Amino acid sequence: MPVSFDGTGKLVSLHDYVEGKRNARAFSSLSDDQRVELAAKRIEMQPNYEIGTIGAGIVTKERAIDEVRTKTKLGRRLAEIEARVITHLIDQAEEKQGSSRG
Amino acid sequence: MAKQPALKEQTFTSKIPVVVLGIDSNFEPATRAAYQYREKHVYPYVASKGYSIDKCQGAMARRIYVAPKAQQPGVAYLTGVGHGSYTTYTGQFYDPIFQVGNYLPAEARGKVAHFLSCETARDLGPDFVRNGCRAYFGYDEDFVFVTADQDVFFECDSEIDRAFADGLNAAQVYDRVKALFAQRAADFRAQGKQNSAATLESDFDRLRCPSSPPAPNAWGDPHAKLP
Repeated sequence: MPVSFDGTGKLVSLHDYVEGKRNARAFSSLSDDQRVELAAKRIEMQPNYEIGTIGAGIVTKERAIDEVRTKTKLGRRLAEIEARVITHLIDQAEEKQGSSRG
Repeated sequence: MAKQPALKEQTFTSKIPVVVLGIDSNFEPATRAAYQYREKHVYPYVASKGYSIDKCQGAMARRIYVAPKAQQPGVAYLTGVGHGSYTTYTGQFYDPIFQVGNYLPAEARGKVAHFLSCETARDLGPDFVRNGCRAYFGYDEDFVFVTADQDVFFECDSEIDRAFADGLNAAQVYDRVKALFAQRAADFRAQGKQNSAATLESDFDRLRCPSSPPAPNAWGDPHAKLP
């Protein structure tokens, strides 16, 4: 699953990001539009993605992607959840890498 | 035959049972899933602690049925699942049950309230408290769940009901609920379910109640508990 983009706008995997390959942009330096697109791409790549809310009801993958890309309130929330996942995975991987080097 | 718990009582002019009023809609898949969880895991637990349960569910989860019941003596706790907005907790087919400016103070006064609903904690919760509600537990944005793991999300939310039924005060309830959210998020991560973990954490961040941030807050008294 991608966690960032490279300088040419291509997706970068967690492995490549942590290994410092492909000149990946730091996740924290991505623009709002890039973070939104990254969240949409990640949702698109999850085979069984489906969420519910006690507000919008059941939200299919297709609808979730649309909500994220159009930056609705729900879409913003889903993008935030993806950002949480990404930062956790990066932290975890960097910690692991640091401890194996240390 | 199973032993029935002794009913809790409050002393007014005569002793009357302490009533938990459940207001649950179930007209579409999201509310129906939460309703089914609550029927199986919440109300039986609360009843086992000696509380009398009164329910307005499904077609009965409408304001015309809820408003009179909420004003009955003995009703100490309002709980339920229903769609919401910043100002309104709704019932079946979005019937506005409690809406800022459109309910009587007697429906909230002296009670503890917890709704599994989107957004109501932002405006309705503080309004409830201004009208005499002792403690309000709810979410100030959407409550989001991963359908494949929905029961874990409902378990975390309904720990509020179980903890109040166990006799804890609002501050203690918040601490117990916080611990369960954190534990279940850690469980998800251990299973490689990163999205479920992050979604659960994101929901917890939206939980507003008497001892949640920001301080000082508008959701009631941290010492409030059920009789």
